[in-house]
Amino acid sequence: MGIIENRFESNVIITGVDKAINWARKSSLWPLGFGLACCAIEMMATAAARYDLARFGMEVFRSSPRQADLMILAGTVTKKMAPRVRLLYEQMPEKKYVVAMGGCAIAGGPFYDSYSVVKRVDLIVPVDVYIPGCPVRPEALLHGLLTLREKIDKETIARRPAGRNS
Amino acid sequence: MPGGPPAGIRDDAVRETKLTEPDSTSKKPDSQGESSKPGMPDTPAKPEASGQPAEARGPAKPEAPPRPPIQSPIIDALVRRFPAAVSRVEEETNWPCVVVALASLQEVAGFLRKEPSLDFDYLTCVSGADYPERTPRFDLIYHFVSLAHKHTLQLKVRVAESDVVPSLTSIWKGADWNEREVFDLLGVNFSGHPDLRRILLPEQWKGHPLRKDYVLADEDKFPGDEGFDPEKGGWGVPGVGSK
Repeated sequence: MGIIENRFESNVIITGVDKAINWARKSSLWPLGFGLACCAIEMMATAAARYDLARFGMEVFRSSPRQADLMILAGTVTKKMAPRVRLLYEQMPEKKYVVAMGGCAIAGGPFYDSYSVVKRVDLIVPVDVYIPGCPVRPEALLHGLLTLREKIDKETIARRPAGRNS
Repeated sequence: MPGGPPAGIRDDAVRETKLTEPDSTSKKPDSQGESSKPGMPDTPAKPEASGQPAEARGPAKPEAPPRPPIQSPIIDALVRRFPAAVSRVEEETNWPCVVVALASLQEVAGFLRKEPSLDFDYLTCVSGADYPERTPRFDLIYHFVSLAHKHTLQLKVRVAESDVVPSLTSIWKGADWNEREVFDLLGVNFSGHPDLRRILLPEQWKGHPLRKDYVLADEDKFPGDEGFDPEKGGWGVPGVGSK
């Protein structure tokens, strides 16, 4: 949770602030530059010239989790890798988003009954957008990231009514 | 040189040259010279071995008979040098193959490395296989290549669960990680290894997953797996597999 989230009642001013904050957040999502398996190749293709992730302000793949606010889990998460993924997530500053890319990250994929693979990555980190595919094509990843932008657009810093979690 | 085969013996090279020939029968004048190589006068000519890729040359037949084991002067030399420790294999292999007694592994391996006519300078990989119904349970399979002579050899060792295999890291440094992998996934122990730790799995892992009797963790089981419990399994979440 960020500094100003959940501290004010919803009112007219908050609505305007929301608009500005959400615009700033969604327009320059900086992904963490790491790949886990073959989906990472598609992620690189998405960032390269033909699909050009820079159109959405996401081209800056940061090498440090402290400078990133978007984690693209591109590939199979093994049980050995899971603690490292969690550590990277916790090192990212708020407000942060996670995209699970591909069948392996969503539900284990072809390794659904393997001894070494984490069966769902949302057991490790909270996931905002799931993008199915094996591997995910760049168009699908772009669609998932645009979906994430829409989701960010609906966020508010206002205090949520009791009983509502989202 | 009684113990050493000559240089330039390469079983797959022989087969490759045969593959280019249009005729299947051994009409080639030097095919006789191939089977009786200089320096190996006591090796009997093996027509079935030299004519090995007969079925591979023509159009693919649906029911090809199983290929006999590959004959090689390297094998002959090893069997002659270590008659008690080295034996041949019956099954079909891709490379010339011998079985070596565990007690003589280091001695035979040192011979493979140091004998100039063999000069196996590259240990490609060390594999492990689990045959739970067999008495020495595991097979360790070493794949050797000689970059100088361009010949290859496969070496199998039968290992029981309680056996400790001498590490070959003193002869080939590249055996280090290979043996760690076998130790990690099959639980075969090595002696004389400089750094015998798990290499692929997390260090706190219990068990050896490539053993046939390895039991999956509850959260890894799915409907159809033995011992599946819907309350415990299914994408790591209790209740997912239940209806």
